[in-house]
Amino acid sequence: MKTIATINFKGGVGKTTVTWCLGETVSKLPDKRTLIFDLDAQMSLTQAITVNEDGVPFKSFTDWFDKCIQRKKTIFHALEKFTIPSDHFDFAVGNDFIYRISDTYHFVPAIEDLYWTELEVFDRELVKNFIRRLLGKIENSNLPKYDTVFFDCPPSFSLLSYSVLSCCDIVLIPINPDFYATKGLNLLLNSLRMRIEPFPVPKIGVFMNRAKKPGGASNKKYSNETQRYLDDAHQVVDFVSHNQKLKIKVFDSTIPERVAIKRAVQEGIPNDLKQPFKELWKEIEGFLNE
Amino acid sequence: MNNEELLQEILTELKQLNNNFKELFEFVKSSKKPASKRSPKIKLPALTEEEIKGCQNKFAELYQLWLDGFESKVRDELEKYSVDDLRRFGDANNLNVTSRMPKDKVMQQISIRFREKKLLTQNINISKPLSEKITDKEINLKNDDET
Repeated sequence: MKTIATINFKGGVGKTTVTWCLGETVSKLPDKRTLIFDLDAQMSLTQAITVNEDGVPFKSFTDWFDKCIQRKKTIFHALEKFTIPSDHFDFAVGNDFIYRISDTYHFVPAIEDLYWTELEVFDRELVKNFIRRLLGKIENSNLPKYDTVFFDCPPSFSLLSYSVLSCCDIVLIPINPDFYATKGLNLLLNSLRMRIEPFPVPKIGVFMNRAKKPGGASNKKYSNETQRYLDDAHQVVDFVSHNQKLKIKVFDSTIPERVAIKRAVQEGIPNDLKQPFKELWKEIEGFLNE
Repeated sequence: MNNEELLQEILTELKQLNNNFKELFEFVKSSKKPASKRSPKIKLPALTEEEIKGCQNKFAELYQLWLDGFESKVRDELEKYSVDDLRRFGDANNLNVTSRMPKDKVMQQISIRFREKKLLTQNINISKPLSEKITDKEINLKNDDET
């Protein structure tokens, strides 16, 4: 089971949508089963699955989610159980904890209560092992075996982010072609090691989301702006990986800017973006297996 | 002067005024310069890989000079370029230069990019793990106690 966490302290870079699309891309590959966790208390992904653009709820999911809350089977309840002093983690993982979007794409939704993890009401030392133990429970349950698990992390360093980052195989950082996103990459890379240690720092993959094409008859691959910030990202990554001895890579594959991607959670990946996501996944997989 | 005479006088004056205006219009029309024809756009050949690399290396060299405080030296170097070469230099470095952009605008773009690069990289530092930071703090407190 490969675990992949997507994080960026800067909001609005398209973190949730690209994580979802990557999960969907992998789930459609032969013999691959994917699980995706929404760990962001803002619940962007969960809400995108719950209601459509007009605010009409998707009945199948909302019915399931109501039962999940009633039976105290949300991710927050799992965390609560985990942090209660006890000799074992008393939380059974089943179909009331994991929602089946399709046969090969499954989902653990977020719940508003996750905001408590931002306030650090739980013991930091206890929580750090939570995701590791939860994945162990999933692996040992009667549920199908997952090849890849994605985590959509909050845009902050909450206790849950800490728990995910201390056990995942790769951290994905989506950036946008703008100054603040590149500046944010610099800050995030500099703080990751500090925050994850003494756990080993996972591999870190950076990729450009919303890459713009050049205008007019230009034969360049990207717009000047996109190319400049991509070059800057390379420079930042080279510097940080060299100085902090971290395994960081900027992927050559980028996700082009498309308005239609906003509806990808409900309507699937737009056709012209399927190939870029496949190419990006190929690079991520290669980096994972390095 | 009776009314009839007065009317005749006014009409003559008006006729004269009309002629004057006609002459004035003719004069203005004839003195108007024909619209200057724009010089035909000469399309320069696309930048070669080698040229791009060279321009990017030069940009990095000038940026380092600029960082070291030799702003006027950088300006002098850029001033040596012809406007076309400077535009190509900007384009090779992915700046948004257009084929008619004046030299000072291109120079401005280069200067903006220098400042942006500086801002992006100025905080690159090696952060210590939290445990080391605490140790440092403790050491400082200890030193304070001793003093």
